[in-house]
Amino acid sequence: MNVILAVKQYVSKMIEESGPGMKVLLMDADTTVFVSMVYAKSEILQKEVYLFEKIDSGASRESMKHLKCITFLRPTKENVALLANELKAPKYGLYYIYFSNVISKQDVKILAEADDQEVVREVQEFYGDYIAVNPHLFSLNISNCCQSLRWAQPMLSRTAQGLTALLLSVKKCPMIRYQNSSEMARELADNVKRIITNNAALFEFRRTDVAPVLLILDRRDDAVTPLLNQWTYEAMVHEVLGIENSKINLSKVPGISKDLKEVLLSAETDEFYSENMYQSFGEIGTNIKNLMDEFQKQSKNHTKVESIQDMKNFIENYPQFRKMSGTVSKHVTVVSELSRLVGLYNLLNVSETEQEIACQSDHSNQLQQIKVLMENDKVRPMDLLRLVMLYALRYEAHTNNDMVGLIDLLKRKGISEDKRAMVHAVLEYGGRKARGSDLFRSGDPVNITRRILQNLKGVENVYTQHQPLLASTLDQLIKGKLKEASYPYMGANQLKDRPQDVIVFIIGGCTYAESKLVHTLNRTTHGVKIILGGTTIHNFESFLSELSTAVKGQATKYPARTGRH
Amino acid sequence: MATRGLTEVFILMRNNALQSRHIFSEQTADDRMALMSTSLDPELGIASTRSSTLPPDWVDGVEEIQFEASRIKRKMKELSSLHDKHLNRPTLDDNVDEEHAIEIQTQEITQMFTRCQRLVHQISNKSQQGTAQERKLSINIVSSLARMIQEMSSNFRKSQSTYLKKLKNREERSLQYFGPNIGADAALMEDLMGGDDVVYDRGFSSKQMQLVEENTAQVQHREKEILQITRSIQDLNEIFKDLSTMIVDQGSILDRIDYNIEHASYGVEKGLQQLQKAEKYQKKNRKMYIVMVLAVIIILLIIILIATKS
Repeated sequence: MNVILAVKQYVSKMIEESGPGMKVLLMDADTTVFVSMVYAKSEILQKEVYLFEKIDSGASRESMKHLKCITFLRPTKENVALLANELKAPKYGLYYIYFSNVISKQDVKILAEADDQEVVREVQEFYGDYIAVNPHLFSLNISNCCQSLRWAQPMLSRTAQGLTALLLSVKKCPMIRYQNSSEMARELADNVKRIITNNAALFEFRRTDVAPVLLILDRRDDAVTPLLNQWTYEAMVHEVLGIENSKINLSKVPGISKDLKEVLLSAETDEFYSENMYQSFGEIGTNIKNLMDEFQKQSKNHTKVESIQDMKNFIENYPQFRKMSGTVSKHVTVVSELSRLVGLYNLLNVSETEQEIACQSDHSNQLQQIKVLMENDKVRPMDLLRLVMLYALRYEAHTNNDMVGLIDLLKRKGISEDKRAMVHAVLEYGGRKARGSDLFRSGDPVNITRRILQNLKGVENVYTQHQPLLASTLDQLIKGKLKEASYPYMGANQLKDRPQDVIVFIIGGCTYAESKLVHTLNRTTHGVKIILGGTTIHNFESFLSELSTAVKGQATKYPARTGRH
Repeated sequence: MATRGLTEVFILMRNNALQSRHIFSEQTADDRMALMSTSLDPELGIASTRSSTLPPDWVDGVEEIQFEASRIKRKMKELSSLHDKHLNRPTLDDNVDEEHAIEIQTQEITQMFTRCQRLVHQISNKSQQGTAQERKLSINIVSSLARMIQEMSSNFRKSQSTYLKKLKNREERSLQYFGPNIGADAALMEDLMGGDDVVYDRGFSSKQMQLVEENTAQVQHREKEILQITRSIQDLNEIFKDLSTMIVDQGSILDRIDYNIEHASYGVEKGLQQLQKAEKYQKKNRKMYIVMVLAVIIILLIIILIATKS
């Protein structure tokens, strides 16, 4: 149950099957990302894959018959047509064709008819049809999958394909549970089920004692998590700087050197990152200081190269030294930029208020805090919007709800009309009516007592009070207490025991905060393995765009466009 | 990691397609059909494909390096077993043969490394003339080969230096054990030198002579051995420095496949821009040409004017 390993094994197998000799890897835009996430260039070069090309760059590629060509493509119509063209006038010696998903017989026939010169050696389906981000986290990089609160049809089929490919790659034929309150979750579950039954032969794996579970959730049930500022390294970098396929763009950082304009944050190659990605911002500070100290010690050793002994030591440790210096400069840049932005935008105060709104229920006090922050010029308008959206979700039905006043304040701060409309959009998307579960846990007596106890003890860390809703859902699922009324099974079979292998998929995107949660659950809960996936991985910005397409063309139930008067 | 093979289906379909095309073409073939299809000019076809089907000549170099690398690996294994033997199972007789073998092996390996390095350089030089894509290919190949060689050489260096360390340790130990012996030698020497005039007639007994000579020979031998190894390490350092420029750091953005592809397309775009710029310059050149022609005409006319006046 390691998605990175699964995709990596597929790629390794492709390379092995083509035997020795120089190879070129021919991919499309999607598979390029799939492969890049699991294989570093230097690593794949060692396996004699020396050239990487895109299938749609046909004209600029030259004929090189001495190369073997491994093609890894998604089975789309365009790709099949492009590949058929390629086969009619082959540029490389032999072709080993791999599709990332189930391909129809007609498409195979088109290719077979195009292959006059009999250059094709292998045609196979290798189900690496998703982006493996971390061992327990995958994404499909589909933004805005929800349109007018319904599935956009191509997105639905792509999501179902990606999800079944994941199941195949980790060899699981699961029982499917979905969130009853969400129509989209039901549709997706239905689609996945249909694909499994249509390809029953593929899904015949060795039976385990306890069947794996696929749980399909909807982002609409928990719109709070993507609204919050995060303070663990990975999540924070995504929130503040934005991670795109493990790459972050630092070109906007003032005074950045040319080498660091775009950097890679990958737990696979970067030891420091893999150790610290789930640490909180404060701990990162001390760890990076330790890293610096160690580095300084090493570099001091390296400055005095006098005797042959020194020289020898230097050369022996030089590759590690170089790698370390790259790591150090990267992380120091990233962390210093983070702390600069935190100070500049007053993110600590903002985050404290956010957490209070999400977890406490002191309405008048919180309203006051928001108003104070509104006065503060350092706070970004985006963060103010974030706060008002949170407030709207939290106190949707509160008697003294002052949304009108807050939106008016936003207007005075110069926030544009369509941004202000987001406050209503988030209510439409994730408000009371859309939710199937108790997001703020006000009714649960256990939680009430816990909260009172917490108030007595005092909170440990005010910035990390909030737990995503996924925490309680997974907790119930693992204990076998998840209510069947809210999360019914697709099909007749039901799980009697506690589940062992769980795959959670969130329609509308997951967040790195949830990824961290799953990571800790995997480590602390014995005998349970969880994989988390989402149509995409959100930060506040991407979530806003998701929201705006989701509610587009939807007749709003909130007639008071109160910001306007 | 489930997979599904479609190769058989594909080959079946391909054969069917080829067959049906055959039948179809036989039906239309009649006496008036040309033996070769006219659409393809045979001479042109061969001429144009020859250059592209033949692999560039540096490809042989790659195979050579790979072969050499496998040889180096084998040699290194042999050498390390020799080292072990030499260190752990000292025989009573002076193991000159063994030392000699080690020396030869070490030299050979170092030579092979230099050869590999030279070959890598040759590849990167030769590929300069190739097309853009060939160059890209060769850059990748060179970087991967360089990494391989570097890894091997660093392994080799490590084994050499541990051997060296052990050798030194052993010497120290032997000094410890046989210390008094050497001390006695020294005393003997002093005795001989200092007491020269006192007991002149004693002189060197042949036995003592032998002892002293043996000792110095041994010391010299050891020193030579150590020197040899440090020299081989130094040689390797040069190779190492040379190759390190060709290697991309692991974990950096340059080590991403997608970044490289995007960058390549960016490079192509940039190239196009450069070309367009060059074209502009070329056009400017044409203007220059016209200016020159006009200037010549003017000079001519002036000459004619002068000629007619005078």
